[in-house]
Amino acid sequence: MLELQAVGKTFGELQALHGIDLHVRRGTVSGLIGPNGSGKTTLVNIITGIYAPDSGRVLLDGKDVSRASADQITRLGVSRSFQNIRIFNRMSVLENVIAALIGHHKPGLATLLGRAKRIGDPRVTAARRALETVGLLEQGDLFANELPLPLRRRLEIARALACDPKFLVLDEPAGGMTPAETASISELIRSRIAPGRTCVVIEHKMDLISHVCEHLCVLNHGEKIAEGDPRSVVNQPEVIEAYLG
Amino acid sequence: MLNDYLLTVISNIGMISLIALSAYLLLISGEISFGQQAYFGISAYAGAIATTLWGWPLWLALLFGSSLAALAAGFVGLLTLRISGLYFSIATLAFAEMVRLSLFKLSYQLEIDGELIGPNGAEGFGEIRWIFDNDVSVLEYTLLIYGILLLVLFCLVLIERSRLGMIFRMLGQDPLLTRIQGLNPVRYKVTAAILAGFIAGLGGTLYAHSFTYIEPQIFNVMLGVHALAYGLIGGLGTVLGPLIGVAIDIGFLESVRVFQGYRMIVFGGLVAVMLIFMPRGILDENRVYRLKNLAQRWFRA
Repeated sequence: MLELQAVGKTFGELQALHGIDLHVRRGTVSGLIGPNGSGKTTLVNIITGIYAPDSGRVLLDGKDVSRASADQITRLGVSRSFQNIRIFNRMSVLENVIAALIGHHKPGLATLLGRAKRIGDPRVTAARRALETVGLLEQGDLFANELPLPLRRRLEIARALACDPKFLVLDEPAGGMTPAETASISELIRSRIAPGRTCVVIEHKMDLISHVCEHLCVLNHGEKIAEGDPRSVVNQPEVIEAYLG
Repeated sequence: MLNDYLLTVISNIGMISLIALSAYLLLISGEISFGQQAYFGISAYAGAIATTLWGWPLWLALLFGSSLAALAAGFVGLLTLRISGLYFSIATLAFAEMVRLSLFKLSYQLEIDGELIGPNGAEGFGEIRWIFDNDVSVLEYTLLIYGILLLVLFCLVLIERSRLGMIFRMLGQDPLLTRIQGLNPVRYKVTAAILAGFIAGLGGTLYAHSFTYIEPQIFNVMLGVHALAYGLIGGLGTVLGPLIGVAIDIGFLESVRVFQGYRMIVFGGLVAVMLIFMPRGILDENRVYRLKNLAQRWFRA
């Protein structure tokens, strides 16, 4: 499904990633953890086309997408949320999700000139369905910036989910949440988001990772230091020293 | 009966509204252009040349002038693809100044009825007499301006409700997030620039035929600054925003005697106050959304 082969990235003097290999199998949920500055977000930005790798390759369903732009990657079926929440603040909650469905297939003139919120439009129906999945349907008419943080995170997930992506990347979906809110989003991901999907979840919160992930990869200083079953990985001495200790 | 002075003020509001709408379209797409006066000017000259020197009908001259303006705007849009923010603003200003200075060098005169007629550098372009040749009264011409303004407003309302309009607003808020939704910002940035150029162009040709005389100095940076300020005062939540801005400036500050001589001071102060207390204008997105919800509830009740 998704394969990274010896991916490297440098920013000036800083080597952010050193030859990372990663294989995410179809229909699995993989976790990506590591201390701050370990290269997790850089890796996600490479997978989603925001950065191009300096070395190595990114393969999606066997196709080399290392040089594809972010919009091309999205149209190939990759969706994501952001560590620092990014929503369209001056649009309604429903419009935020409809926004994800316009560019899913390259829109032609007729699509572009069609009414964005036409009742009966399949995009509006799909957007409502995504909002219902994350429990935000009732808030659909609110302005997005009126939502509290946990609901904004849910809105990001709804937006990423709306076009039924082949591959979903959730970057710290419980960032800034209380333990109760984390438990709630963790259960949402496990029961409603993950089933039947291929996902990568980046998180610091081990409760969430162990609750939703079948596979775990640990980064430190831009290098992969451990990989495998979450329960065994977190007990490895290098991981404890680098991250958990 | 409306007197000619009042009609001139009203028609001026209509024509300037077009350049304000043009700047507004770019503002909601996230770009601050200080150069919309260039497209207004290009179309003013091109449209006036078409009717006065080539004998074209006004509707064709309008289409020609506006298309030329749209073409120039598309060209500038392509040239400025990789820049945004302050750099984009400076680039648009530089282009507009280049156009204005080029108009000082533009000399294209033909002999009509034994007289040399046409633009002649700093002397400007007089004798744009379509309005007299066709016996069009000030009232009729004002109605024509407002007919075109209404048509543009209607099209912009449709665009705002469309997916294209949604993309413009997405771009205005977060270009990277827009790209992550599978949309190539380049395509829509250039589309917005072309549409904005065309709308400014409509205003330009109408302006030239209304005042019957144009010169390069009219299309200076202050026209572009005003065009921007109208949207920022009136609000960026609806196409009516820039019209409110124009009405406040030309309809109120310029027309009310007590402000005469102080207009620019009051206007500058107003812009500063608005930017501090209402950075997206009177009718910003939030207020427009609340008003729409209120209206919907009222209609349902």
